[in-house]
Amino acid sequence: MRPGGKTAAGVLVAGIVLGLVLAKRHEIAAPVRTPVTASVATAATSGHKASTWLKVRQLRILGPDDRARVTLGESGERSPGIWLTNARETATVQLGVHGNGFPYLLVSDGAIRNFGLGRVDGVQASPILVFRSDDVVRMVFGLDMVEPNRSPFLVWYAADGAKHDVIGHYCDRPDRVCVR
Amino acid sequence: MVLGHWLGSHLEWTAPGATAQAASPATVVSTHTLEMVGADGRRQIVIGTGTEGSPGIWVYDRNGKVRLSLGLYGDNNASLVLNDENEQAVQIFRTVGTQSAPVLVMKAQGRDRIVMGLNGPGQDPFLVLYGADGTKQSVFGRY
Repeated sequence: MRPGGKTAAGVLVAGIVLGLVLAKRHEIAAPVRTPVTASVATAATSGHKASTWLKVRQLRILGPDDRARVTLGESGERSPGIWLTNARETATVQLGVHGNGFPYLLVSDGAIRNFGLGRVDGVQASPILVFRSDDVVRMVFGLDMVEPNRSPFLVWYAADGAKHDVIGHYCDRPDRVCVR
Repeated sequence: MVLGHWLGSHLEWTAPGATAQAASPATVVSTHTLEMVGADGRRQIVIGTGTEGSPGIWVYDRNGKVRLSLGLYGDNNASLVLNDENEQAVQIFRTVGTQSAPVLVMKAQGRDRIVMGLNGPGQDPFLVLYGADGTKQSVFGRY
């Protein structure tokens, strides 16, 4: 090859390399394409960014002290849930799905000893509402968990544990097998 | 140079590690407020903290009214509230007071019609009904 040809080839190769470098620099400077990263990166600069969707294993909403107040994610039972708590963690709202597939909603104190719980329960997946104080069930309201027609029931318990059926019948055996 | 730039822009030369990271979901994302919007940009769900620093989730209807909210009040009691089209509460499931007594309230036109829950030092169960004229009927317990 003639010297002039070599020079031209060298310039051509150098030009291609330089072009590739410039293209790569442009890629780095351009917004990242994944929704999660794009959302986070833009939020840091503008404060508001609408991403088409956000894919994440856990999402935490932070309070002014940067501690999690709301958490969306997977529970220890590997089921989805949402947890809300205050700064001192003395109160909580939870909703989600138990490991057995039953949905629930809980409003309670931080220790979950005093609470109202809405959930489905039993073999018929009957909806029930449970009121509990100091870890003792005091009232249950819902649809029968044993009868096929799922009649409504309302039962409450006195301080001494005496059961009072107001409407229908509540099967309070843990195994839900009640003998009438 | 132009050829190189064109090649660089059109060929994926990303390192395998970076590709895997981009394709997999993030482990944890933290923010102070998350707003979910519809295809038309309309606000649908907001997750964040209220003015008192308490956490909450607000779900909006097509008219921009909050129809469902759950979170904590300023006194650190927990709540789930269902609203009508005027953002008036029609059902409240919450805890009350320092003992976090659980209570369910059903309302009509801003007035309580059914209240049930636990009350008093003994946290005893109660159920009260209110007529359209405000007449109180105690089914059992005290409220």
